[in-house]
Amino acid sequence: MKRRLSRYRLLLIQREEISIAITLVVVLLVFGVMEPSFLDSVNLVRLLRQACITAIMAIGIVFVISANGMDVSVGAILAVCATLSAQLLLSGLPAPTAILVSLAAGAFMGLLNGLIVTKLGIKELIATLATSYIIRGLLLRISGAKWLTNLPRSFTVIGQGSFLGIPIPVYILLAVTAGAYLLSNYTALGKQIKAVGGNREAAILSGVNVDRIKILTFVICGFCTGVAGVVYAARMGSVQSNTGIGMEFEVISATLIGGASFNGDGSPVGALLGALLLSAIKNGLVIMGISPFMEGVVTGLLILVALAVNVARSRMENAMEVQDG
Amino acid sequence: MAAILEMRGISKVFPGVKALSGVDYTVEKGEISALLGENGAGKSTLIKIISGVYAPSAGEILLDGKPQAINSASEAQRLGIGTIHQEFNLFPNLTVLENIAFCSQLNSFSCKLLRWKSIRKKAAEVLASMRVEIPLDSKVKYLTVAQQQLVEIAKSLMLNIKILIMDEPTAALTQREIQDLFVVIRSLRDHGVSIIYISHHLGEVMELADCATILRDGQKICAKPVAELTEKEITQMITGKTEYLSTLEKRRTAKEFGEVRLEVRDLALRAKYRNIRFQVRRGEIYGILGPLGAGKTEIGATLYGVFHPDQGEILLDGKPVSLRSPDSALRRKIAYISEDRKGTGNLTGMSVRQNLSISALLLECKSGIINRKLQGKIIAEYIGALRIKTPSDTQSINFLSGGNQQKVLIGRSLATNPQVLILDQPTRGLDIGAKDEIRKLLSQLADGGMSILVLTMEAAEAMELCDTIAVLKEGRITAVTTPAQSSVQELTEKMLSGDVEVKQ
Repeated sequence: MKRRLSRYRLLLIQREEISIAITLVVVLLVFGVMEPSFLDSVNLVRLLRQACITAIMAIGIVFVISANGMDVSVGAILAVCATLSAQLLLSGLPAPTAILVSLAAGAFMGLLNGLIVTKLGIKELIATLATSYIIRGLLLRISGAKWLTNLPRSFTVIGQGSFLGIPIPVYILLAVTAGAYLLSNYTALGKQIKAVGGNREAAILSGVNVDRIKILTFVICGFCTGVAGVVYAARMGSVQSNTGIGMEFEVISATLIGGASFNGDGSPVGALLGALLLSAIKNGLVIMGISPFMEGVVTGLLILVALAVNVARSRMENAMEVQDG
Repeated sequence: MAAILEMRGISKVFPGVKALSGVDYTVEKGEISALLGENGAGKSTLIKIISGVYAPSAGEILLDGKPQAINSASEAQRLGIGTIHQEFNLFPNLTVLENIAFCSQLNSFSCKLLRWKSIRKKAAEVLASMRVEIPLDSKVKYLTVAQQQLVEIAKSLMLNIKILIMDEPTAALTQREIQDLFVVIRSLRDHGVSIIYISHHLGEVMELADCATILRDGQKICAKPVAELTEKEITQMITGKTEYLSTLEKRRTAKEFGEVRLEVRDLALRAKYRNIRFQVRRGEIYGILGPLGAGKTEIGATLYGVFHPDQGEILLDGKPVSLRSPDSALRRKIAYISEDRKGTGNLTGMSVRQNLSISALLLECKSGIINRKLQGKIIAEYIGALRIKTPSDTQSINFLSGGNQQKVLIGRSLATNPQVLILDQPTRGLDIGAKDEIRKLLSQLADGGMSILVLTMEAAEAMELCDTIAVLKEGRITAVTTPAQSSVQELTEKMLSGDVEVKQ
């Protein structure tokens, strides 16, 4: 019995996803008890639909963060990909082509970020802050800050349609999650990304090409943001030039709440759960009629709680070591 | 036997320094080859050339009789050369399994799906062949240092290695763990693996190695089977000095001690230690000897105000004191030098000047402005007095040798004018010459009336340095003795009887 208990405790301590999943369930139940309509299938579907874009981006950025990096340009990349897909559709290109070009553009911008970080040796935060200004500036200059509306139905179905009662963006999110999960847990690349975040020197000495891995994380992040951009344009049916302003903070928050740290911790599933938790709280506050201004307060508190849990976890780790000692 | 590795006329020149000049080095198949020399003799450079980190400035390398350039660490790995560095190269955020398999399975730039089942099987086999049990799914950051060392070894065993370089592999292990490690190393050798073994412990070398190569000042001094050498000869060749005193001869002769300065009564800290009771008099060097994890470091940290004891009293000059923080300890003239020079000792990347003066300046400084005059005084005084070898006081501390880094740390503490000096493993990782200098320095300080507390896990170090030795086991003092009444052998036995096994 004693062994069992300690095994569960070990699981709780070692798998950050489990504690965040428990938190999510608790939050859902609390809102459900306080406002039964919260747990309606209609509301839950709406909640999922809202969460999709943040979650897809969070899954992308979790690779950057677990390699000890940072990308604050994802909001701008989202805007470019959404605008690009809309523009291409309006100029008469078929939906699949427009989508593919937008995804490639997302990955390409990620590649640029990665090259600037590794080849110019500029810190991630600063490099992506700079590219974020540049990307958004160029976007405004080129698109002329026009509203792009009247996107064809063949495209908007991606964002607005449903299959078997479940919104299509949820399927896209599931596909992205599955791909990211495989990459993270079942490929050498996934392990190398975490290795770079955990001990960069050791990674170099173990034969990991750290620059290439860093670039890869930015490309993954850019690609996922591209996917999110397409879903965004399709869901809204129109694209404004101020799309995605401040989105980077929401996405980074989701990954941090989902257990990511700058020491190589973090997982796609954790990022997904973090994004769901954020959306659930947002949605719950609205349904309960609490001022939307409180949303920021709750998000901030949640980040602090998540990080405090991490600290508590490492204290428990130390305590465990003493017992084994 | 055939030479698996042959290096001919290897030279390596760094800007301003010739680290190696014309070194020949040969390793036979299936032998344990000890590489010996003081810090700065060129051992690390030679190792880095073999493992592909540096390219030699001149000379050639033959593997299995064929000339071979080793251009990168990964190429060395491919050629069957594995290295276990002194600083662990593990990923704390990955599991034991992932760490063990990393270099053999996980470092290719590939999207292919991994077959965890077969990787796990192989890793389990490697651990079983080493006869150790470490849970494969535990993250490495939850392991003890000794377990991490074993993971390092398992990691290199996963590679199909022909040459395994081990740089001070026993530095963090207890006697029993060292013996277990030797069993593993010998079985590797019997399976045809060649081992390049670097250590400052001549005892280990004599016990384990087949042959020894000695470097001094970048040149090869000798390469002979160990059986043809004595410990004394090796020491002479390493230091280049014919006069070298054995452990017992150079032991400190205790003078008269003054009154009791530091006293500890029934000190206890949760699971770390309990019933700790001892006195350190003026002019005395008091040693606490215990294996890894016995609680030495925690006792030292408590006396420096880092930990707060749950029970018991600390008395200075007969008066009880409460030490809330290192700052309050420093103000009561207690100084502490950490065991971990890189981790918690040096301000890495900062200059010798800043490293030397920071504690004293913080103590003096009330306005928040650096007292340049005082700083200058400290620099002038201690670089000379401690004979710190550095081109200038603005040199980054990273470029100093281990012995000189340790001197900087001692200097930093001395600049605060301590009456009680606590040193955790003061000669860890230092070569014989540097050890000797630190030993002399501590002896002088004690003769000047300072009370010194040395925490160590090496019986020999305790014998060389201390006037009184307390043996600490699992957080309790189990014996108190003096070097005159004891021997290294006896102390080691006392320290290790009933030693805790490595287990999760």
